[in-house]
Amino acid sequence: MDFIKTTEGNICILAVVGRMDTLTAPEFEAKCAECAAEGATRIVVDLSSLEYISSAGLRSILASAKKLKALGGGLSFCCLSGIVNEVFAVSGFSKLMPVFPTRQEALAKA
Amino acid sequence: MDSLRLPARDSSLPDLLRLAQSCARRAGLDEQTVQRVELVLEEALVNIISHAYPQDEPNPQVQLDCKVAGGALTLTVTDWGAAFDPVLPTEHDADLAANLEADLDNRVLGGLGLILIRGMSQAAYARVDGANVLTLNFPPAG
Repeated sequence: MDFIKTTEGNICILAVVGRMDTLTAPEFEAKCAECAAEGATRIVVDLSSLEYISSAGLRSILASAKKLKALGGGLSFCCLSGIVNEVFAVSGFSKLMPVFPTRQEALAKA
Repeated sequence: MDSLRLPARDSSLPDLLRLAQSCARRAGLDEQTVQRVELVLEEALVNIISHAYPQDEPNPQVQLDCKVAGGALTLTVTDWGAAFDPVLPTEHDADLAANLEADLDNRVLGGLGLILIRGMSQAAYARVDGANVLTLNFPPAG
């Protein structure tokens, strides 16, 4: 799993590339912690290039969202498709997390 | 029927997932269903690897059987560990349902794998001669 990290104002944008599974999920939590340590507690996660996510990935998202909320920030998501979109729907994450069709909309509401 | 019996350890995951994917493609399932197959099987295997056997079990085993028929794929996952039915609604299920509706502060981390198994496959469970037998059926789309 790879990350393309950019910033817009004080919002951290993380584009996630590859697979978020049992083996790679901890990397996502570490990346969110890195953004927060740099002062960006509001993070927009672009999932357009995420090919696969398992429950381990969902757990790392949930854990990160709780930590960021405690710091006064939060996680939001954009650009879900295919199996990733289905996993968000089945698990209830589409209702739990702010999810937007485009990066622009996610940034506007972050 | 393709079968593979391997140690119930993380290192066996890639081979088992690869077998299921190749059978799913042979069945002619669409690409999103192939991914669903991989996901549901990973969740089932991770549960077995993490919870079925005592930590000091010298020879934990898991077996995958793949059957392709009529454009459908049926996976059978067998382990010889502690009895556990991932399909049966239990008291824990009400907690899972509540968890699905919970907000960020109240949502707990557990149970997500079971939700995905139940939500993304036709799953059935039986305890047979001291083994857990989980059947996961993936019919063709449409």
